[in-house]
Amino acid sequence: MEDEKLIELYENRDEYAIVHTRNKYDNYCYSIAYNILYDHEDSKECLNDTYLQVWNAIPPKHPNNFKTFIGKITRNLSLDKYRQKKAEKRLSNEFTISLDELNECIADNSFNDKTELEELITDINDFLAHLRKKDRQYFVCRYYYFESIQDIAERFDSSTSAIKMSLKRTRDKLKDNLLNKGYTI
Amino acid sequence: MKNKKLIDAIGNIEDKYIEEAHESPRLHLSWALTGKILTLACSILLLVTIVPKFFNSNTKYSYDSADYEYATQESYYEAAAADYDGIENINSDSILTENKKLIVTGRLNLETLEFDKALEKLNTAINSYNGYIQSSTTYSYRNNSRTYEATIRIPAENYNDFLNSAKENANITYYNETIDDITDTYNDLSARIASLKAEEEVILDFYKKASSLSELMEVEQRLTEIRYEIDYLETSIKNYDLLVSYSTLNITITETKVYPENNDSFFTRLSLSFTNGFHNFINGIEELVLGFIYNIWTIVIIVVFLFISYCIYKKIRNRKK
Repeated sequence: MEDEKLIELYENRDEYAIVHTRNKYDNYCYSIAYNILYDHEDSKECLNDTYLQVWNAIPPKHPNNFKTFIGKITRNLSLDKYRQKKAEKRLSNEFTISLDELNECIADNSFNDKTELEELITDINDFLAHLRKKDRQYFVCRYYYFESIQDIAERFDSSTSAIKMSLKRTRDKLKDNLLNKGYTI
Repeated sequence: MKNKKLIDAIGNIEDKYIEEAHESPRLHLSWALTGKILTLACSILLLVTIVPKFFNSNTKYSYDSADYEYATQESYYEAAAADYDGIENINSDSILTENKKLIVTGRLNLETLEFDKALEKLNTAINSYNGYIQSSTTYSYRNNSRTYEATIRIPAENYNDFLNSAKENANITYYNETIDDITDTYNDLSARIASLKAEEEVILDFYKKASSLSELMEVEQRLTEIRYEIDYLETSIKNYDLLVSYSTLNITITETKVYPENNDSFFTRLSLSFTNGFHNFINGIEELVLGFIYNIWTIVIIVVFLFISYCIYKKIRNRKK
């Protein structure tokens, strides 16, 4: 079913909207959730929360891109769940490794000088616009989808070392870029 | 969690970047895979160009090396010379004596540096010795060496002289001759004809003296049979006469670049091997290039098929993920 028709079902409060959403995007959302949580049950729970949030969000929202819309919701819910679980116990998985990589990029306390999230989002988007397509794809797969290096290498038919090198260069560029824009390291 | 805002900021990047990350990657062939495909294509090309050569009995393609082999095998020359000398020793007159009926058939292979001149000499010899060409073919291969093949009929009394003329401006690589003695068969046929003619005379007498219709018909039938058989035997005799009176020579003249030297020196043979080997190498490269062009469409189809198969394999693998 096309996304436009799917959104129409939500706006008409037709419960089949959720059924069709599940059929079309279940695997996509599950992979995002699992990359963060690394737990089947938690990921499933996250998916259910996602569908509920989408149901509540549409209407009034009318997303231009339904796939990225639902993906962001899943990602945010997964991150929240992760933070909740992290408070309970120490987790070590691919997601935490990718977080550590970002820590090398920039320290959290730098945001004291420039804390507006929207400005940071704009800066990140500008930064991504100037990257090579491949580097951008690797970056988003790693730090948006939290895919493992191995999965990224297989997806793009590349080696893990090439992926690691690209991500390292991109993180260094991001660090320099944010420094130039007034963030402190 | 550190970098919460950075993580959240990345979570709100533009949709186009999120979609782009999960685009089907454009397929590119790694150098290793490209190399494998090219190796496979070259192997197929070599197979389609080289394997047929093993089943092609036409050795004229590697003419120079074949000639070199002839040159180093002295026995061929000795045999050719001996056969040739043997022909000279035969008394050509004896072929046509009434006591002997011999059909001479020869096979002569020549190579020449001056192809046109050799052909001209051959035609002149044919005309001057009152012979004629029964059939002939001229053809050339890709390396432009020409070959002439012909079946020539020469009056038996001129056969030896004609052979001498034919080999001018050419080098003998092979000579073979067979002589069929058909004297007995010929004499039998002649005797049979004579016998039938005598019987014909007797039957004609009976025919004149026949008194009844039935006798007449019986005699006439026998007369017809005798005359039919006489005609048949006389035709056979005439064919034999023609074969005896005109010897047959199957001749092949091939154009060559260099005569093989009949020399025992190792260094000479080494030099010849090097030269001929180089010629063969050049010919081989030319054959390879021509073969590649000739089979280009086959190779293109195979490569396209392999590429499509690889694309399908990648898509199926990505979908499984």
